[in-house]
Amino acid sequence: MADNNKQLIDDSGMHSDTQEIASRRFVWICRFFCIVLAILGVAALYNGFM
Amino acid sequence: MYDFKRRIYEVLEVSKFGDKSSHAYDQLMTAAIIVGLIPMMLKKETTYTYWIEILTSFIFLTDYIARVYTADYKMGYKSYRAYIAYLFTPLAIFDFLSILPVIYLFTPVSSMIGLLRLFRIFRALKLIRYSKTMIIIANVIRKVKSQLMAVLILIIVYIFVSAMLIFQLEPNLFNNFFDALYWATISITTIGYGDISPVTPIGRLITMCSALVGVAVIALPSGIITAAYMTEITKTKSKYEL
Repeated sequence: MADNNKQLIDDSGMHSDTQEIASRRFVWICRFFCIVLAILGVAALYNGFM
Repeated sequence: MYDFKRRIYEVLEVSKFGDKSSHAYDQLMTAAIIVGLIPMMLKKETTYTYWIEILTSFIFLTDYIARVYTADYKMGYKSYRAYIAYLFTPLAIFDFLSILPVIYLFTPVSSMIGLLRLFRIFRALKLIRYSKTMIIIANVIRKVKSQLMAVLILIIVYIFVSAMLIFQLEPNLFNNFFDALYWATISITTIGYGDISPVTPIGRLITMCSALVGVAVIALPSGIITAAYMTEITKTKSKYEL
């Protein structure tokens, strides 16, 4: 049955829990680097202009 | 079997609606491009700018390697020629030039290597990929390439002719021909700094002609681009209306 096989359809059309987890992890890694870059950027600007 | 390489290609490309991974990657790249330009706005290097350099260079290098790896999908044919052809596309050249400043981080400071840091400005061009409006403008410029090239040649010829005329008529005013070219460019673009100004009546007459021709010729490219841009916008609108 469709409910029992725990297969999820993610944004690219791939079917598996592993790929769904990998996709979520990738999104969080991207967000983490975005935040790090934003902090570094603000710190550099503050340090440079103040 | 799921095609891992294809998935990398999908993530690297501009995100389609609902593709969260690709959307997150686009956001990361946009952030890296914007933050990566910050060191160019500052006079001195600090720890923060150093870490920005390290992090953004690492991101751009990874992005470049991944893009070259998936070049066969991008070019649409599976052959070693796809990889070579991809390396010479404008965006791939911008990508390559934008990762060159990495060398500066790992080598002793020298004036030549220091010049590589200027290549960081190419990172701004990477934004073209992530903006739909920029893609439209890039397409428009590609379409009117020949007209723009014709106007550019006209401008260059006019600059050279007026520079040669003024160089012959007012030789005391210029140290060399480059100064005359500089004067001609400043006059035709109607900037007119006034650091070099003609003193003889004939020299002033040429300056007046340059300024008048400049108004007409310099406005031409903007007119060509605007007309082509409006046509493109109308086409896009009618496509969605159908």
